[in-house]
Amino acid sequence: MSMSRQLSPQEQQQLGVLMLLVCLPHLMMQTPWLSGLLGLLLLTYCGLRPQWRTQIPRHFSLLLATLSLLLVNQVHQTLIGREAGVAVLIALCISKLYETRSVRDAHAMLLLAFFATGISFLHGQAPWQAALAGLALVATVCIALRLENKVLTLGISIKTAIKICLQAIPLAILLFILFPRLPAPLWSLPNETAARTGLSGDKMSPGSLNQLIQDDRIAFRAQFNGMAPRQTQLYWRGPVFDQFDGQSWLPATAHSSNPPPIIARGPQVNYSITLEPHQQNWLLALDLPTQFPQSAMLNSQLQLIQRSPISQRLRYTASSTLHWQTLGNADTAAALQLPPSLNPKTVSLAQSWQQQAPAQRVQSGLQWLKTQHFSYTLTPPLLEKKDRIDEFLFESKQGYCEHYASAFAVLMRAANVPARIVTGYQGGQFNPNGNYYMIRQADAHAWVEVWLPEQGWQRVDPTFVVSPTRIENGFENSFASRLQNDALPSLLSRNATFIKAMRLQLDAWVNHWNQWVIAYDSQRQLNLLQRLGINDFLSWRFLLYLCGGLLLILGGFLVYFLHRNPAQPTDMASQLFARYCKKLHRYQLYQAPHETASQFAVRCQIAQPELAASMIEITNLYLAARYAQDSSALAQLKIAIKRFA
Amino acid sequence: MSPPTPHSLLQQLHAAEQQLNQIIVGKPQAIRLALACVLAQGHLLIEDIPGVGKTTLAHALAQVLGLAFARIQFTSDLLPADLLGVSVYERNEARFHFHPGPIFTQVLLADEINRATAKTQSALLEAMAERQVTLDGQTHSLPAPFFVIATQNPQQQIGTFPLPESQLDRFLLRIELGYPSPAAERALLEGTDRQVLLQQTSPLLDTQHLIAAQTAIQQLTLSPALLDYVQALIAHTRRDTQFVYGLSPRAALGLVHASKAWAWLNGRNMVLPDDVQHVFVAVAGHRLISKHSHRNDFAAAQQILTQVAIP
Amino acid sequence: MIKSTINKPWQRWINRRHPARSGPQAIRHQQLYILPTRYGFAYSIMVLTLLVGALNYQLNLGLLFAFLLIGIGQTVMFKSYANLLGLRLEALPISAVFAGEHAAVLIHIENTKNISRSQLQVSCRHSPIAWLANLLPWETQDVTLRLPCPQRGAVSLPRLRLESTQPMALFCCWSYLNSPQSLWVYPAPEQNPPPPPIGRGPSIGPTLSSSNGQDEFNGLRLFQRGDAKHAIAWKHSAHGEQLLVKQFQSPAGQSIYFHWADVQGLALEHALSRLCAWILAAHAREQAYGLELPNAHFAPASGAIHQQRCLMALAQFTPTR
Repeated sequence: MSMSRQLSPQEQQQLGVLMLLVCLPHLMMQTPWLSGLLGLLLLTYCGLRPQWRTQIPRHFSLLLATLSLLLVNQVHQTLIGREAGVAVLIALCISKLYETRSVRDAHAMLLLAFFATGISFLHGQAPWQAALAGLALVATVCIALRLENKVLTLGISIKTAIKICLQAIPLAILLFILFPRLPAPLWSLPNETAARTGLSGDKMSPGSLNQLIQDDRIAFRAQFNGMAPRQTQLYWRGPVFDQFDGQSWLPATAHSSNPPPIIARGPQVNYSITLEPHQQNWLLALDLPTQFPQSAMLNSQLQLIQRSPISQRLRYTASSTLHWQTLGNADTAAALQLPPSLNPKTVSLAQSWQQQAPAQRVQSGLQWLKTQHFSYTLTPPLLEKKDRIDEFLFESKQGYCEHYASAFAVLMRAANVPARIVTGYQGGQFNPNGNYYMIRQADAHAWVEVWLPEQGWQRVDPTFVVSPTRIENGFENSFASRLQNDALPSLLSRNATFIKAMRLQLDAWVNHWNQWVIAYDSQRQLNLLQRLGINDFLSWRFLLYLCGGLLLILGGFLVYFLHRNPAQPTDMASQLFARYCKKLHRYQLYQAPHETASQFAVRCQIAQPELAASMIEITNLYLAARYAQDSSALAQLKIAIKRFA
Repeated sequence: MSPPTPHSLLQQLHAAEQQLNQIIVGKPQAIRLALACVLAQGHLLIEDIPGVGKTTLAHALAQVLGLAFARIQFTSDLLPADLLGVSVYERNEARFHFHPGPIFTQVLLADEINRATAKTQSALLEAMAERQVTLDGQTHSLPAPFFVIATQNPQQQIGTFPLPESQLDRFLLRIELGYPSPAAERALLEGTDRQVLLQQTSPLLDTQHLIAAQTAIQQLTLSPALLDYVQALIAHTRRDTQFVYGLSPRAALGLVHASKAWAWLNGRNMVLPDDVQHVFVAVAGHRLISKHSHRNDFAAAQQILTQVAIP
Repeated sequence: MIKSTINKPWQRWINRRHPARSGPQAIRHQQLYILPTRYGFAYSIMVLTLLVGALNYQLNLGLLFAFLLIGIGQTVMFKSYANLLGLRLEALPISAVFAGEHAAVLIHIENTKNISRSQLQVSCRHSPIAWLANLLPWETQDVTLRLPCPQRGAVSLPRLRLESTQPMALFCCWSYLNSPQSLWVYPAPEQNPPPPPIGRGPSIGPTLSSSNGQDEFNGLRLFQRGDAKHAIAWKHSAHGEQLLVKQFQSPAGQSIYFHWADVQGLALEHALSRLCAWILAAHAREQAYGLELPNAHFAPASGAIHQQRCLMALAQFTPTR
């Protein structure tokens, strides 16, 4: 191998700019001051004077590497793990950049650039991140091309880089579709405490949902197979709470492992859900799920949970029944627990219904709420007394779903009806562009479940009694008229129809992206392959598709590269003359490409004087046939060349 | 007078060429190129050091072809009016009268064109391109075969104004004379004075014959194969990164015209790649500017011929 | 050991695939080889790491990115291959050189397709690499390979290797050119040789003969070992510190003979060097000369062809024992 060429200052600067582009998605995700520092180092390198860049001492980059590793350790308290690992990689990239001198160093930098772009998807796989990675890919290829060929202008190298990337797409798509996916990770994901969003499964206290009302983000998307249920029936079941401490509701401490048997009393609704990662282990399903993915299980609270937290966007299909009956009375004791000697007014109110049947007691409670002039508001007065439920039911009488659910559950328990709180989402916005429902964090809701002797656990929504519009028309309709509050998410305010339509369209695209690119997992891959008639990765049919696709793509390129621009089509005269030239190879006479026929003839005559006469004749006939387009000369040329020894 | 046959025309021109070869000894290539240039209705630029016979060639050419001849020595104080002519007020007729300048001739020798200022140069070159002179709103046509032979000293010499590329493009061919070979120089030294020879020379053609020859050359047709070759050469100059600009379409047209004239002078009705190769350096040399030296690169023009395959 | 046992069949195989042929040779796909470079291997390892990582973390976009990199590798491989395919090479006749000089091997490279080629390099064993930065569509260019020639003889032109790592240095694509040409390496002419002994006919044997009166005195020069004693100009030498030798010149047209016997005392290569120097000097004076070697004899003549013949004989000379 020859000695590696030294880089010019311009090439070093180009590498610096490339690294800046490549590190950008990573720097955006790091702690601000660490990314600021690393970004500053990159900018400094790009802005250095050319002669300084070549004179950076070698040990400077070593020093830089040590310092930045220390910094990373300071920030992340570790050097391994996902976030810290990425930070280490970026820090090392930047240190290496400072000692880049030769083409070999530049090669290492380019490999690092490819790698850093590839792992930028650890931070997320949104379309804009994909676009940024695509840009970085083209830039890296472009710099790689320029490094090898100094003659290339910037415009040509960009064009070539784009062309190379586009030509890579067929093979990439084929492999993407057919390459077998792992059903489970080979090694476990490093435990990251990523920020949790949305509903909390740990605790429910008044005010926790209030923050979600202002959150415009999508919690999940749902698509129904067949008819969608009515808006009032769209209760998306999430975490269940059955321990009340006077202020907050907590999940049950001990679960009996098996859920009570469910008997469906209505038609089954089939749907699929694309759940945004929320870093917790419960899934959402329409109240009440009967079929669900195998990775999940239904616990005794009828809550759908999964073993590991949802850290990736998850897509699953499930079925639910809208009317049901549960059997058994497990858990009913726990569902009667109340903190002792609290809320005396509430307790005495409930005890006044003791004589009624349990179902009647529920109705009485709802009737009481209806007649007592409660109002639904997002800005209730603060409850500060020890007996909060009393304060709410008998004094303030203003609140939202959480207050109502909490108070009603306490009321029911006091009336000796087992009750618990179910949180989740209610309703959703239909997106006609993609024929699916978008359920936002703002749709978060809480309701009550009571246990009745004949029916088992049944849903009761006290909010529906207080503010029927909230449930019937969805949150947006019920509130937009009453509350022209800036705190509401922009999408919920009705006046911006155009923007709304655009955002719906955009969300439809995002949904397609999520479903077909991000969530194309082993399950979906199997489904797709089954549609193609492939049941197994080891079947001959799979191999046929894989090899056939590969051959088609490679063969296509082969034809494109090797047989494009064939030699120019030749006319009859030049074909004949080529035959004559081939005959002359016997005498070690070769026509140079730029040599005219007459010059060649002169050379041939000197070399082979005995053939001079026929050579002159052939040359003259050829010239006449080719350049004067004399057809009789062409005929004679044919004969003369045939005769030529 | 009956129109001359092509054959007799060619004979006349060969006789004229022979005559010229007697006056300018040892430069048959340059003389044939100069004749081809006249026949292709282009203007000629002769570039060389002083004293190698540039002026003599120009004078002899006019003499032999029987054309009216005028010579202007270009100097740095030469004004456009000195060249084109002036309108003078005639008192007795009470109107302006145009006095044509020396440019109103058939062969104009612009001697040492690069000694004049850019203004004068452009006045001449405009007249060359349009074959007419516009002064005070009046257009005066130049005589029918109008042919400029400009001579130029190599630009390293002091006190010259190099012609800009756009002006150089107006010259169809550019030739060099170079020192004569020892034998030719001996003949030159032994022989009679060139000036005397020039005066003795009688015209061998007249204007009508010359125009007939020019028309005959224009009517030569080109084969597609040859046009392919011309296009390959032109395309190569445009792709080759060592030149500032590639050859212009005007240069391509010039190459075709000059090749036709060369083929005709060699007694052929078909144009061959050989003809293109013979005239290529003279056509392209002064139009191609090397990126490295920012000067006309004749060696590079020559090299192009070995880099482009004949289709 | 192992390397040489593998190398030999490999070399044989290559030679069979690239028979020596004169004239231009087009590079067809049978004669084109391609392998990843070290950088290419590093690239594939990087892609593999990315692939495994993306697979494990179930990052579909990461996976797609890794597949795109594989696709880029594939495209680059084809481009690398296409960069050499369809070139036409020809090693032009090489002019002879003297031992110790570099022979300039001119290689004519013709682009027969409508695509630009870039960064071609031509090399052969022992020679520095000759570069060609860019070759436009339909263009022909010459590259010069400077081949060191340390020893005299008729050397056959070593196999030339044309290679390129374009466009991204991930793959090295190469081909060979075998040319049947032989390259003549004449003995290195001796610097400041003594004058040849003059005026001997084609007689055989080391008879010393004095300078005849026909020869004209031409001047003086410094004494060198091997000069005849009687040639020393004692009178002139007495004036200075160094011995001077009288030089005579034969009138133009008179032939001289160089005998093997004249240089017999010297080492073989030295002797050949001296003969070579004499021949060159005689040729420069346009003087006719003859050469007599133990196995060859050239009658006096002059001209380039005669010189060439004599020098070839010297280049090929092997002493018979």
